Amino acid sequence: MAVLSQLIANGLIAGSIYALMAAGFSMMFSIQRFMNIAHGATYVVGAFSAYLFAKIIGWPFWIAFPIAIAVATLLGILINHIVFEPLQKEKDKNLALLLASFGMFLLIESIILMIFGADVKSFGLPVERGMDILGAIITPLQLIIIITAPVVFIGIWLFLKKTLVGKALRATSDNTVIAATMGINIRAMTFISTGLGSALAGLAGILVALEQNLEHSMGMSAILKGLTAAIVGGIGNVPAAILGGYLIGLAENLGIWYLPSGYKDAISFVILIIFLLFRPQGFFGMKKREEVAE
Amino acid sequence: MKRPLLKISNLETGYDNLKVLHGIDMSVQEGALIAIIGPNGSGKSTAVKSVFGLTTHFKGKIRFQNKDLSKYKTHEIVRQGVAYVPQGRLVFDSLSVEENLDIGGYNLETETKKERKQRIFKLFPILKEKRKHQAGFLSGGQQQMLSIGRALMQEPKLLLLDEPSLGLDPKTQQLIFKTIKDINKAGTTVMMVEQNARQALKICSKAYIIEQGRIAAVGGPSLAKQKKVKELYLGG
Repeated sequence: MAVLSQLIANGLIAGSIYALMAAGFSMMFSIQRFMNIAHGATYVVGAFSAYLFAKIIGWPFWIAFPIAIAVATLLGILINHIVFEPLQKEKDKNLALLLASFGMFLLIESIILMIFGADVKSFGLPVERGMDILGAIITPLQLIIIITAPVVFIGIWLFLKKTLVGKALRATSDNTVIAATMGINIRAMTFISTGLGSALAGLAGILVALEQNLEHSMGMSAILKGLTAAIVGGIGNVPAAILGGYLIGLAENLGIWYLPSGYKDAISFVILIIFLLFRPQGFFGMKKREEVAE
Repeated sequence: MKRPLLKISNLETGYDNLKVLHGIDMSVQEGALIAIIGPNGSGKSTAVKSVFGLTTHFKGKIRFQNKDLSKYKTHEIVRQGVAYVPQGRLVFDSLSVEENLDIGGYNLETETKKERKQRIFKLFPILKEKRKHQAGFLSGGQQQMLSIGRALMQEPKLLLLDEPSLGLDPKTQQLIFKTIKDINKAGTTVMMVEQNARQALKICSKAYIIEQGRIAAVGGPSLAKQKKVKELYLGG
């Protein structure tokens, strides 16, 4: 029983991070309609900015972390404005955008490597004693991760459901062309979704950096898990992507009850392949109707 | 003679490099109910979409209240007083009925929006009943009412409808045509692309027939009496 509780707790911790990545990824995808690999770079920048401000400069966490999230947000918006927006006008935009986002990911990762070096970094927080919660041993930091993610998700849900801008984002995600004919500025919606999505990646980066270590190469694994979760949940649908994140986190951790822990990644990618083959719209996704017929 | 509300001159538009309309001219007087009919692929929908900047513009002018609409972005055109009901009842599936109407009145003040929603609910009582329902799960007729209601939230001077009766059962089609007529009677100028030429010619004040991207005929409801129109569009 204690093992099961521990695996569920580990699944929730991993799932919280995956869900944050997936929610951000999905939020951007729902408007821009391409796989933004550079989302992994904003995650790394969030983590390293927090490390720079809190550990190297020595600012208190409550100042350092919001600024680190703001840096990640700004980076996401800038990449979109400088690189993706001009490419959206191209004829073969999907491939161009995918390659450009991958290029931006590699570029930013290299810049982080140049600035911070290749060695593994740590916030060096004191090791805290875990608490026994329903048989699972959870550290205070892990508990913060488990609680922070749902609080953020409730905030996102309220924003999307209750505010006019949130409704406009959902309408744009449903049908960009028709949303524009209602007077919605699609460029503004892209700006908002990119900013929010990048902020979520920045937050995920900080939480992982606090709990584990920092490496310049940490972004690829995060974007792959975020992407997997978004597809499994239902790509372009933020609540579905969040649930997909928890689903993948729990499946990976419950899976290693029977399999060696080295198979963790394999479990999520097998689930991804199964979904791509048999339910490409995702667990909670609906098939979309066509855009305006010609 | 009064200046037309909408004047389209020598318009050539299409999609990417493909030209669909080859120099069409149209004139829409305030208060008119214009029907655009023609065979599939003739460019009827393209004509309506061109007004809203949803096509590639090659040549020609679209003037609405003497303003050149081709200079505006799509999201700015609605503020000029033009609203659009797309083909296929494209409501926002994941939003509720009421949220769809909120988006229809995106640029409006909260109070105005509330008041207009009440008017739409009066026009389509079923939408009030289903206000909390997800729009994607409404019937075809209800979705068309929502699509029209959403466009009416702007209280537009010109309402553009693209195939409003498409895919609806005959009874619902009748209801939609009656509603369009009522909206027009209440003062809104209507420009409607329609496959159902018989019904369209019955309610319109003026009709354009488009064939292969060119205006083939212009006239009033009496077009229905012309032999060629009868043969081609009214089943003989």
